[in-house]
Amino acid sequence: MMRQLFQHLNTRLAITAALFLLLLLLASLFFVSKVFYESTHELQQSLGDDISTVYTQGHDQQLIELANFLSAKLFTLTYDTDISGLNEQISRVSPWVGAESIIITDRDGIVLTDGTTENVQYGTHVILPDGLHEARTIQIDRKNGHRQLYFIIGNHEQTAGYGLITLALEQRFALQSALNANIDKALERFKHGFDFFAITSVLFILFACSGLGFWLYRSLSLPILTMIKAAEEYSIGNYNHAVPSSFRSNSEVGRLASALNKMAENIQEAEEKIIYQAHFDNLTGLPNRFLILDRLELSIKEALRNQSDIAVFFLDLDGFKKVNDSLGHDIGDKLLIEAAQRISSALRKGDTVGRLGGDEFIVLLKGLTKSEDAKLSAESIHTAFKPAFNIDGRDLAVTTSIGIATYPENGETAAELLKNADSAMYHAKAQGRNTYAFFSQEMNERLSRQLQLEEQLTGALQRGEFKVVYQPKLDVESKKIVGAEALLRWHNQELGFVSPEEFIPILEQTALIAEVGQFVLEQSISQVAHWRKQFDSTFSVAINISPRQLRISNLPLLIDELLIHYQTVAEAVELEITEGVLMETHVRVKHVLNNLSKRGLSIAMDDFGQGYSSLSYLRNFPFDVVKIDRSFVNDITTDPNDRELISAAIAMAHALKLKVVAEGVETEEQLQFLKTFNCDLAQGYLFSKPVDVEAFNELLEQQTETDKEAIIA
Amino acid sequence: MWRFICFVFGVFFVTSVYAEQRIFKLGVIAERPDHMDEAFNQYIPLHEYLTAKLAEKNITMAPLAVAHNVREMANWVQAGKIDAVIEGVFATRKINLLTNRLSPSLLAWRKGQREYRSVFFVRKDSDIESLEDLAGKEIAFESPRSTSAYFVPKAVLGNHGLSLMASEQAPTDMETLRFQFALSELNQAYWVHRGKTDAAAFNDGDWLRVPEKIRDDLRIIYRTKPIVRWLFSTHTHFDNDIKQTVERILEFAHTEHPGQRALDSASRITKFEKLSGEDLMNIDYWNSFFHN
Repeated sequence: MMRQLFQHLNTRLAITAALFLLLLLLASLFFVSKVFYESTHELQQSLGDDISTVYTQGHDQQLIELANFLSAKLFTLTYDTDISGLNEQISRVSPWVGAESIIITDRDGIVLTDGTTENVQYGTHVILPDGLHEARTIQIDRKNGHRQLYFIIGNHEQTAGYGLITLALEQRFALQSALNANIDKALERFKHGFDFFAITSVLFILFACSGLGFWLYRSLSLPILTMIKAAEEYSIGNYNHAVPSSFRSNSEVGRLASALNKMAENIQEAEEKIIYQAHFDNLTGLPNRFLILDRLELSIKEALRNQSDIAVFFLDLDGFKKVNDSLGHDIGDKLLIEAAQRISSALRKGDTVGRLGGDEFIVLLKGLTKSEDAKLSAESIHTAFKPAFNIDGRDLAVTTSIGIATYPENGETAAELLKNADSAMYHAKAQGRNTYAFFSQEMNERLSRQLQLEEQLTGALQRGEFKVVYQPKLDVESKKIVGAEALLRWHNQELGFVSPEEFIPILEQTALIAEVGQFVLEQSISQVAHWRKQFDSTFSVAINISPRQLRISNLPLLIDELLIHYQTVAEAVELEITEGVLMETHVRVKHVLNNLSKRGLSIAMDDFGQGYSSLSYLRNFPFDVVKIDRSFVNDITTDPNDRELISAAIAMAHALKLKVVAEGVETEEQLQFLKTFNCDLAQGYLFSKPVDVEAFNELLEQQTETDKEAIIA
Repeated sequence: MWRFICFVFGVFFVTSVYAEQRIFKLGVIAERPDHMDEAFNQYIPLHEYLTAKLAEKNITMAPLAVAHNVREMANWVQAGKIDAVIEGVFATRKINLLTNRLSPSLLAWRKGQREYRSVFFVRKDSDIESLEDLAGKEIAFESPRSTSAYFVPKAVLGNHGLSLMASEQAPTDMETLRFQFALSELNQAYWVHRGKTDAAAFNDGDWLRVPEKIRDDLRIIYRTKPIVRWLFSTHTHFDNDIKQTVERILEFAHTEHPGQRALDSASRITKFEKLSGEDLMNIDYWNSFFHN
């Protein structure tokens, strides 16, 4: 109970204030009493001294009379050296004058007697004060509280000797102590009075302090309690709860109340700001992912009620990453702001634009009646993107790919719609950017097939699902197998045989390409080493290298190790790379290719004629071989243009001292044309499809036997 | 003064009313005739002790008789008013010279002494070596009444052929030994010490009472033969039975506390004892000494 009571601020305040005042007043009381006691003590002292003085004066007179009396009385005794008589007189006089000692000397100041039988002072010399003869008696007060009375025994004419009476001034002290005792008694009485006064004062102070405590409660504790209540209201978000104006006086408490109200306003503002930041994108001021999803969900509910349609656009700026990487984030950010404005301006009022993050935007179209409306909006956005973006004096051509998903056809939840719009956007991007695509179920199927492939590819190598097959490469002139192209095959238990066109891009997207690439390299190099020993010492194998493999720093090293391990030479290996690799213009790629070429490895350009077929590539990179794409070879017999092209390409390659390999040779006719154009090597179904090692061995054995027969023949 | 009146009445009373009764009448001589009350104060405790003791034996104690001097006491002895006297050897002898009625019967130890000698002393640095050297010098006696410090030394000096004369009367020559009274033994010692007189003489007991500081500077040049200290003498006509009772009481007194106190008060008597033959011879010696 008490503890609870003390937890109240007002109680503590009251008690603290009361104690403080109590101590203050007690200290004052103490001080006053100290001053009083001290002054009383001084009074006591001076009073005692005064009385003592009066007493002493009377006593002094008595002593003078005594001295005069003794002066006459002791004359004869001294004169006659009657020491017994002197002793007797001393013993009589001593008690009634209260003398400590009485000494009688002769005329020369030599002690006759000190009044005792032993007379120890006898014969000693007493130093007499100056002027004793004139004064007859002299009194001297000694420091030890004794008074010494010197007097002449006899008279002016005849001096018999001198007397010295030593008196203890005890009587005076006794008087003084009696007086002091009286004063002490008076003081004691006063002290009792004072104590009564003190107790009364303390009670009064306690009463006054209780009043003070109540006043403090009213003026301090109550406002604080009110403010605590207000603070609690603020903590649950009720910022409109204001502290009553009655407390908003100019006092500290009043100012605290005002500050509290002000604080509530500030918190409200800050909270609103936080809410804004939580819902809107800081850069563009558009609704963020959180808000757009919220709006989408609301729109879905609304559309469900109204039986209307919704379209969700998923936008991605084409080439934004390139701008951001090459020109910096500042430019990137400005581009995003401009893009956001253009998107917004391209839409109807009531349509919502939001930013998901990065260069991804969302557009929400409500109340659609037909898909045409969505198409118009997408085209409108594309139109808005047509003019170049002028950012910091640079003209940037930026386009956007748009994926469109509609409610209720492409999904019934916000998440589903968004996901499908995303898929459509990827489809649009794949279609060559700056376009839009409506979501179709096929897209999802493709996507799920890709996911399945990704899933199965993981661990496929470990499960031994990969296999390297070889397609023979023949000398066009002699029709003899001089090499092989190593090709990867994948057979999965669930998916069955998967075409390289399908799984290799996925491998390339994932890190798996590194280990699978290594697998192909090892298989091929070990095989070519075997074949070179077994069949032909000039036999070579061509291995396809993906762009990602080239970027792996240890590729030359890895090949070195494999060559050493399988005891073969660099000439046995040809690396085939596509034009796409070179298009990336990676400095590192050129460096690696040069490195590999220097080691004696042969570098071949694959699929020549399919892409840009830039001659500058052939000049700038250390190519040894050019492989003409199968599409040209296919039409060689029917299309004179292709025939011209192949002829020119072969001539040009030869001019550059490159060997030429024709791919996809399927007919004898095609082979004859190639032979006419001086093509060096050919591969294709005409000779053999890609086969496994055993089949390839058979091919080689057949050829060897044919050769033997030819020699025999 | 009233004590003295009592005494006068007392004497009258004793002589007239109790003549036929068994009565014991004790007498003393005041040491200081000017202070008779001192003598009363001294002897009253002994008087009361004896009164009580004698009452048991049906003997009445007469009021104490204090004489002013030897002559008065001699008169009272002569008149038969006194049965016994407590006095020194020389006062007793003097009374006997006048009355021939006193007979010493008990010896009293006084101030711790059974007997005493008179000693003559000078300053240590004095050239006086013998009594004869005192011729032409001055000596201090105590008082004209003093036995040990006047009568005895004076007689001894006379015996040594020195002529003595009071200083105020004496001529200062090489023969006469001048003397004056110092009024106390202590004064005698101081006087010699201070050179006021050349020599002094007193009881050897007093010698020991001289402050050591003084005594150290003094030198004794002569000691007399011993003298019995104090005597209890009875009247030759005193009733023998009562005499023996009184003597027994006195001899017994120091063995009990009230008696001790009474004796001490009476001029510091330690105890009474019977006189030995030797003591009697000593008394005779001194009697004859003075007689010469």
